[in-house]
Amino acid sequence: MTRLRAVGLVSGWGAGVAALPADAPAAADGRRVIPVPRPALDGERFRRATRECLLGVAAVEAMLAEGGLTRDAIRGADTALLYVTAAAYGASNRLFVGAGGASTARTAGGLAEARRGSASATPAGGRGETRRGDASATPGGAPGEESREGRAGTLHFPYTAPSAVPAEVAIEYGLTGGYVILVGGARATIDAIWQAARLLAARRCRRALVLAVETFAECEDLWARGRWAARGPLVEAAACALLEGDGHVGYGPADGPAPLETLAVRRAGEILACAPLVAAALAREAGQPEARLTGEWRGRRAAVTLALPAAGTPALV
Amino acid sequence: MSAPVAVLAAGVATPLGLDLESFWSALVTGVDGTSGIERFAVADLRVGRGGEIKKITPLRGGSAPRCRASALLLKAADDLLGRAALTADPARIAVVVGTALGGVGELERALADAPGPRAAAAALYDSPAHALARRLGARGPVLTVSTACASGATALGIGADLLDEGAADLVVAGGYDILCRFVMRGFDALRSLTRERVRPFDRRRSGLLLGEAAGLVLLARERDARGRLGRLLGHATSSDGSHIAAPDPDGRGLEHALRAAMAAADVAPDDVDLVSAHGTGTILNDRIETGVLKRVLGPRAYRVPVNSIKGALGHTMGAAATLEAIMCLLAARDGVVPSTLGYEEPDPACDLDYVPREARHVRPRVAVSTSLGFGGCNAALVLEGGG
Amino acid sequence: MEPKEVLDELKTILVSRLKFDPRRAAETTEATPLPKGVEGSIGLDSLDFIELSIAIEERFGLALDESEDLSAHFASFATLSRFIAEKMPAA
Repeated sequence: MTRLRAVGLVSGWGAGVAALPADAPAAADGRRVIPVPRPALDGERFRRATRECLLGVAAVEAMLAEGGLTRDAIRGADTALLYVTAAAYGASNRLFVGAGGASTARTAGGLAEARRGSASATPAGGRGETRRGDASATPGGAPGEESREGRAGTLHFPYTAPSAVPAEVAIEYGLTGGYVILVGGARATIDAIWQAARLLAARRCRRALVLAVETFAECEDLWARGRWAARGPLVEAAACALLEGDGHVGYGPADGPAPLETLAVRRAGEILACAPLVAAALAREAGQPEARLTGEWRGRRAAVTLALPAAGTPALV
Repeated sequence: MSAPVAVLAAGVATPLGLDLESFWSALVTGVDGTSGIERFAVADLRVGRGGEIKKITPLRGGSAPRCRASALLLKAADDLLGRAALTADPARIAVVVGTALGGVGELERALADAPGPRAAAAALYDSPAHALARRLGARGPVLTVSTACASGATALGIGADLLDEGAADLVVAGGYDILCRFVMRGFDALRSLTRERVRPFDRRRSGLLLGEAAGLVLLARERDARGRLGRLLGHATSSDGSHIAAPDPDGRGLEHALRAAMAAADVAPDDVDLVSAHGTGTILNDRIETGVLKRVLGPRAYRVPVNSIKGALGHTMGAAATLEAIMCLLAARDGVVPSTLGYEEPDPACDLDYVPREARHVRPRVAVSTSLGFGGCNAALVLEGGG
Repeated sequence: MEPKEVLDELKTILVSRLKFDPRRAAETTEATPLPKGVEGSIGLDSLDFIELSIAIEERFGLALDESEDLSAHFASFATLSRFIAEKMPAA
């Protein structure tokens, strides 16, 4: 079996599953996005990091606290890191596009402008001006990087990669083991749990962190164009699970949602890649001995099963 | 981590050709696929050159997807399907695609002048993978990997895992990325691009150029394979945990991945006949990678060809590692290893045999391929040629 | 421009471009070393130095020669301000 050793969550509803409402759509009360504030992580270590990177670190901190673990428990090459997101690269990518000037996608226009030497072919703004665009959607009033003057450029571009979030986590906690990054919603998290289990089974690692981060606020208008506007609120969240064991998870396709999948969406809202980890946390809170987790994205659904030792059970490794 | 899988066939769309044999013969001949970028404005950037695909011809059936990334991916799939049929139940055909930038070209469009749900959905990083799955009629797992410039290797490894798990019977796996203003501005801002030419491992090297491409391979379990290009013997990934954009100064993450891949493949240094290096042409990468190869392969590192094809293509990001794996198998098939285009003057700190000036007529059986990416992503593949 | 004025501009760049907290920037002095790993330094790494170079070029209207090894000039705020003040075109 693959065991869930610890799981942590931060979301727009607050800290942990205890903060989740009984019914997320009702609690949203018409709001389309439930944002989570930028974590107040101290120190210059994080001065360049984006909000989604800090959320990744916050999720790991929440996991360590939930499991009563210190950082030393996860440091090193024996820990694999698997990261999943459907949306969390949106904010940084949008900011970078916006700072690059208008109409860059219109190739013919761009070329014509370049030949005329037009200023619109050059990065927007003069000294340090950032194209805000819809960045006013910065959640919670917390100062994001876009509220500080600064043209998106050298310091920003590396953070447009989805790998930036697990990179900051790997740097922070000294993780140098296996490394997988998948893009997609809840289905991708099921795939990540499967990959973690394979690494455990092959003894390529002794433990695996499965991390998911979703942010929507900066791209709320883009998400509003899609189907989720009709369903529950998009809820920003970051979740991290620590897995151990000999690696069997029973990975395979699933025809429909497991009860935990439905429960997680009802309690948390649309949290995309975070959903299976929230489902696991809910099962653990309810004292279930195991959790069958399903996740769907773009019409494909799969399942895995995790063993859930009671909270406080010491790790075997 | 899994049993060897068969690589049945490959398909590509590259600046050196929109099909496998054109790509291969251009590589072997030493053609330079980099040029001045014409498709979008670069006049305000310090470097306006790259491996640009000048014209993407329509797909079979005549369609031409608006999303450039999807167009490249589907073009490579056309090439692949021209060489091997997908003879499996659609529910057992999986797609695993790696990309560094996803559909960012579509994000630019969605923000600028294309309102509506389709434009917004097209901007998601995994949209091209799903477009590919639809085109193939694949109804099994569809995964998008984004380990930056190692994605094209990580994707092949996960594809092999799906077969080993029994979650699919055929896997179309590979990687893609496009040239666009977003990425050119980004690498320009990092001062990573060379104003001269790409010179992997050369004493005068001064940076990389970017390129765009798609590469796909068809994977099957060994026992199901009739005829093959070769085999994927082992694969591994690791994290540097060092810096957001620069590699670990000692290459410890890459070393870990290479050792793990070779262990999984049960391959010792003396079994290795060819190294396909990441070889971007930056001062840091080439030095660090050389150090890793020497530490892992020992004396063998000095006795095998170590090439980089990034001088000919530019750094095609998500496609790079897949194209490099394909190159290894074609080298085994035809008994010729492409030269490292741009490499002319040795650097004392990089003293391996980087296949200078012209292609080498040897037939490598076992090859290792190393890849690194932003965010400390490392991946290594071990491949074996021959049917 | 005098080195003192240049120093003030550099402190502004620390906040606006390198994302330092304003209080931290205000604490720096001429003598503060810049590169990471030096005791008492503000801790800039290679990514920061690229951004700083670009910011300096834009703010002061300079062209920095990348092929030249400028690391001595980037050792501290004092060396950097002097370097910039000397390079700037006469007012």
